[in-house]
Amino acid sequence: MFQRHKAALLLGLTSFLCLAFLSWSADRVVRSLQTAFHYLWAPSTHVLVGSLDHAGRFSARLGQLLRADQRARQFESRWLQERLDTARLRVLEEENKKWSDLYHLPSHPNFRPVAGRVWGRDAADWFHSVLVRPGEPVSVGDAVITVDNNRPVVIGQVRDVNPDGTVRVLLLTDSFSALSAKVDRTGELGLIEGRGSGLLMNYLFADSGIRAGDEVVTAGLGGVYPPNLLVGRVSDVLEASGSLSKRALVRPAARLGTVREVLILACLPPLVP
Amino acid sequence: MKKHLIFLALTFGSGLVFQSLFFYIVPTSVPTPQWFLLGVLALGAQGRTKTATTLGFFWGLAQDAFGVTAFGTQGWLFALAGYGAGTVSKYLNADKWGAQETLTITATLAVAVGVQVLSALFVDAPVGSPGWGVVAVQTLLNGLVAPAVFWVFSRWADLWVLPVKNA
Repeated sequence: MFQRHKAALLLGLTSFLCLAFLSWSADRVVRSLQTAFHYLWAPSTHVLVGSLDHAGRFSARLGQLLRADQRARQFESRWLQERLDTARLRVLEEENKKWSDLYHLPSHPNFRPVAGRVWGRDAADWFHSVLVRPGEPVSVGDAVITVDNNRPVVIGQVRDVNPDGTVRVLLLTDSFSALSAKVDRTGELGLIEGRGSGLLMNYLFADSGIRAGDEVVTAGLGGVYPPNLLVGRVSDVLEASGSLSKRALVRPAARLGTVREVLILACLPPLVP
Repeated sequence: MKKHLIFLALTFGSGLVFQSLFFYIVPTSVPTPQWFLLGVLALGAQGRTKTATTLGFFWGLAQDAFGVTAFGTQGWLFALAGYGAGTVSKYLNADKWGAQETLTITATLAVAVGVQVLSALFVDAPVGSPGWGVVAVQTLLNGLVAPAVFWVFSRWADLWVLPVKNA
């Protein structure tokens, strides 16, 4: 009898208990029971959620570790490649020196970069020069460059050294500014002159293949600028009919209005072989 | 008997763990399937009336302790649902999709009505009805996941090789 109606008795018991809980829900005993029930199961939730949080943090850190390991491998690979390149360059340098000695060629000029900060601008000379405070003493005529889009680009040249330690840098765009340059794509030489807001590349041969978009870089002649520093890009080619030469308008690569930090390339005496 | 008690305790614990994990992932502010109710129905539909009634009682009280309903409301309703499912299990085939859905939808609606009635009867200041829209969404969600829950509980019970007559 009892076995047959065990389920019904169980239901009766649970129903009785639930009805008792509901009827005396305001009673201290029932409230204590509810609180006890709550606190009996609350830790399991905290333990579970805490474990999940720990697992999440562990996974995130593992991910960071793996990414760091990957970066370390990349750096190691680059470091090895650079060591190989350095060794190769050393061999080439020695070979070059041997040939230069054989033909008695003068050495290339050597440059020492000096960092500087743009200190001010003269209202009377706003578009033509900037005042720079270099970290070390520099000389008149030293080249001034900056880095734009991870490429060294030419800004101008030191014109005056002031008694307060600042130097006046004559910008490329000034009409008194000039530097020897070449078209990077074709290797043709010319002279870059300042034209106010832009530059003009002069003395190109009439059959020159220069075209709009070509990059113009320093030629490295004269020992003021090292070769292959970006000067600007050709915006237009001027061809006069019957003329023996071509000219090109060049847009400066450096944003001269926003330059804040510069490198001054102090010219050192050539390396003695 | 001992095996049966272990089964009962493990099912109860696993249900709480699952519910905790579920609410860790899904916010409690949105309608979700009533996993405890579905578990109780699945066990009841297998003919395990006593197990379903007992688990319904304890799972329901756990929900009451953490939820907004008066302590005992869901405990009683889930126990009733387990007993009801166990009683009607003789007349239906729990492996059939149609039987599972019928049982689930009926029980979900009955529990929703039951919660309202018990709140009105026993609570001085009811927190307010969730609205029939929420009940409809919950019924739909229960109906969607019911076959999976029934299948899981069937496999879980099979693992223990428990005779139904002792359950």
